[in-house]
Amino acid sequence: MRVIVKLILVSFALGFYSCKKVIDIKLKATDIKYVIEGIVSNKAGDCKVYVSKSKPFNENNDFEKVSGAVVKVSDNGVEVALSETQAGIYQTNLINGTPGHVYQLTVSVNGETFSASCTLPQPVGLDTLYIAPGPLGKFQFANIAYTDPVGINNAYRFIQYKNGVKDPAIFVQDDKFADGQSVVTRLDTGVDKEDDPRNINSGDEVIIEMLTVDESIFKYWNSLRSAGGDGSTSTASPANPVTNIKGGALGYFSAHTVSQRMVIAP
Amino acid sequence: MKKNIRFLGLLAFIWGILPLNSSGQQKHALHGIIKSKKTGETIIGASISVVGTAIGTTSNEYGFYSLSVPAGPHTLLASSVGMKSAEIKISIAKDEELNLILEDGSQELDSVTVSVSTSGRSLSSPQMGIEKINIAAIKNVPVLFGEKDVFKTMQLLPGVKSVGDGNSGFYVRGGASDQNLVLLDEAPVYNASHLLGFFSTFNSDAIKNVTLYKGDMPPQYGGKLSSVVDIKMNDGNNQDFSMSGGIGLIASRINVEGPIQKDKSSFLVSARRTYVDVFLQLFGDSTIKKTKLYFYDLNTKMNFILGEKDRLYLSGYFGRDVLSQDELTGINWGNATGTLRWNHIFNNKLFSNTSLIFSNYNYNIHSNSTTTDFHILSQIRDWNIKEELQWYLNTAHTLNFGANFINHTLIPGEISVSGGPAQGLENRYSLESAFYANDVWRISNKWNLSFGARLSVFSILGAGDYYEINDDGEVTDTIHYKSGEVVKTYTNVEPRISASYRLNDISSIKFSIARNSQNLHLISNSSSTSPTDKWIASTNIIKPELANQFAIGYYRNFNGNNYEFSSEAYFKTMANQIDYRDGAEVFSNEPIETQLLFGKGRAYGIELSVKKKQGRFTGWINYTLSKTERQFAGINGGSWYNARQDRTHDIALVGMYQLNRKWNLSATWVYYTGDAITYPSGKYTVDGDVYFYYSERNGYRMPSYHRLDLGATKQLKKTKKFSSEMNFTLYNAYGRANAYVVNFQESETDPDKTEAVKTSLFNFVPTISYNFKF
Repeated sequence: MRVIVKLILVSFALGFYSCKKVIDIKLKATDIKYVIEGIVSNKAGDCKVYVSKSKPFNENNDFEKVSGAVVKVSDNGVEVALSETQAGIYQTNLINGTPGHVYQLTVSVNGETFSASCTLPQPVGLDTLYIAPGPLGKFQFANIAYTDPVGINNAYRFIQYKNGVKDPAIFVQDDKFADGQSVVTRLDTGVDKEDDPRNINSGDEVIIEMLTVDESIFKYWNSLRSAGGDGSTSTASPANPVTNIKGGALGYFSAHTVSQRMVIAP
Repeated sequence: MKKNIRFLGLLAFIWGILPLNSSGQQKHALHGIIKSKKTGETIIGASISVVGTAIGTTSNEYGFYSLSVPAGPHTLLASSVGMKSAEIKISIAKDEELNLILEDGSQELDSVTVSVSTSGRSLSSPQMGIEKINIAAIKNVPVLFGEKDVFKTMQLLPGVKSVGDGNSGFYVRGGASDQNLVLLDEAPVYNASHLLGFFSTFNSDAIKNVTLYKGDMPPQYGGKLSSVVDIKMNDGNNQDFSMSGGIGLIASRINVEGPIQKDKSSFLVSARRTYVDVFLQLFGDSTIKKTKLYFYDLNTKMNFILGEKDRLYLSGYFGRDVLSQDELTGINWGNATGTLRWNHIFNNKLFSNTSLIFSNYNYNIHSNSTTTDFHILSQIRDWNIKEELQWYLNTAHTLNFGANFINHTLIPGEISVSGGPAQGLENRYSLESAFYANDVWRISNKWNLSFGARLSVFSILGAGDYYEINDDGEVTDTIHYKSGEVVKTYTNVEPRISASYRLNDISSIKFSIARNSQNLHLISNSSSTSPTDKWIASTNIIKPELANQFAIGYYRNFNGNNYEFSSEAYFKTMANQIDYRDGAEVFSNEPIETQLLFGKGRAYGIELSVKKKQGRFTGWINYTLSKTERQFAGINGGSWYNARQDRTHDIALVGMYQLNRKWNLSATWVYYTGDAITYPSGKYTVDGDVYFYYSERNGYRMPSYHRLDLGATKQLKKTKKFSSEMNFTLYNAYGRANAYVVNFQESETDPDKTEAVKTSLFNFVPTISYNFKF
């Protein structure tokens, strides 16, 4: 009798767990899109634009870089042409990102023109950075603290580098519920396996970059993360992120301030 | 204008004079309540007719019936599903009250033939799109975890589609899952599912009757576009104490009922609790051990017969789900409803029901950790007063009219963060009123017509801020309203017309036209019904959803009434449909209207069904072929796209076989085309990582879903005082790995390639449960 009961309980438990399997999907061919990443930061002379193309889903991840585009960035109306320093990368050191200035980007390639506009916000830096165990006690995560300036709409993006390697998790926050307050947050990358290479282990060097971003850029990263852009969320209707680039290109144009802190994980 | 008046006058003349033509004899009114002998429960939908004439009616939701019978001797025939038919000899000389009693039509001890129903789907009744679920008959339908579940069984009916594995949400005729009005003893239940959809909130032990209307509901119902599920609870055995219950692997339940005063009053208490968390303790690792995962339901009811003309009912339902990871983080949600109803029989032709209803649904999410601390509360609270009058005027006309007033208070999402003050969206207040009138007119032996309308008036009230918004979703103006001030009123006239034409003794055709409006909308951003879906009311910007439905049907009985064939085709258009913008924020304190887009929908299809009702083998086969689409400016480039719930084919086969006196075997097989889904059509790189590009909304299909369930019930003991049985179920008997969700990720073997991965739940789930009854 006991054996039967045990067998039943075990078979029931097996039935309860889920299983995963790779499946074959036939996807329809689609238009190739231009992808533009434009960055102006408050570091002296930091202004670069990456232009590439999208690819069909089942090809490899070697994305085509686009050369020969005409790229211009203007700083409060003063226009500067960027030169292609490497394939698909356009730079200039004549633009010094200044908080409060309005930056505009135009990219012309193969008869198509894309444009975007972005305002560089005021800088806000990290007060503290420390590594602490997460809620389940098993994994460690970066925890940060900063003070949000009161009375202005602020938005932030945090990027984690572990031993020089960028973690793919997207962290964005705005101050809608915390205007003027001291904010403490755990940057939970979502790792849940012991052997995950993204885990923060003892002795790892962790750098957190804090960017203050424009409202449109907050919306871009937030919608990229929550609308299933990386295919991992179970949202009902995955959609493309809300971009500030006009003309039909993917990507974004961000004018932001950067600061960082570093800590060695205990 | 004059022509119209004359035409209307002619119509009224015919309306009034037709019944008088049938016979020159004096007619008297015969009325009463029809009850079960064993328990004293009133019988809903019993058929009462005068043998040898066309005079007949069905008992209403409170067991009341009324007939106009000519003077003289007659035989009255009363019958109902699962009960033994009764013939009563009567002699009518004046208006009379005659209460009827029916005995259980239980299995005869000597043979194994089981009569599942004697009066099933009506060929003459003009009501289309109706499905009645016989609680006794669904007892043997195998379901997940062996929990007899009204909603899971409803998903096996034609035109009704299940949301997905384990989920008790459903779609009716292409409508979304929030377009179904679920009523438990007249009180609306806003989230009828437990454990994120794996179980429904209805404990079948306490249920008497379930009726589903698929869009062409009679005018006393309104408020949701696609369907009404009207669930009536048992009143409570007023003859004898009785206790029944069951012990299962996931949950146990108990039902106690009995008279407070025999024949005059009774009570019923039904409770159910799950203990899934106990299993997690046994099998999980240390992190899972701290998890709490349970739900409970409690149904309570009392009723009092106060004299010949009055009856009072008081019922309540309380249910709660708790999911928490540890002491710090968790979510709980639940419904609480209460109803006080008063039946009053004015005279032998006029029946009244007055109801006072309270309904409350809320969910709480809390997360306290060392770093952030937030608490989200969302709630709907309704106070409702309803008056229904049923006037059995004469043989030809039965009138139904009344009014309904609901006061809604919605707390759409109050958020408090890190000990700061509670912020969030404001409370919303509204008054939903409705007035309706309907006539079921038996025009002749061949033609029956039901026509009526519902006038729905939705008033949005202050206190609160309401906004003006431009096309980009930015607020351009804020207007503050004081408490009780009317912000806006939406008025809609909803005609409901249906007719049936009896071709001959065994077949008929029907058609119907119905219009419905809906003012409470569920905005969902997840692929399964999650309790964090938001209910919002219409505002000055969010207009009431509207649907127009046209349907025709052909019905035929074969082999006596043993086989029923039904076919219905429908076409539905929907306006003012709602969806989230791309990149919308679900939890934000922006006005909700800034995150929404509005558009249209359309759905059409054909439902075919064959049922076998009598004999050792009973069951049914359903097939539905359908399409549902939506169109929104701002989604899919403004072109029509498949709604998520669009499923081309939907098949259900259910069979139950009484093997011998002890064993009953059952099986269910379902098949449906996968949901319409959005798959990536390309990929690109941003900031060093790969992301997907989507071009078409819902342009692909999930893999098809099919599954076989097997069940067996063994009768252990059966005496007059006690009966018990063991029930075995095997869910997903051939282990088809149906896709619950499909994700895209980097291939584990080749990081340069992206692949699609499906997750499936529930392969080969066996269950045992033990049920008993005193």
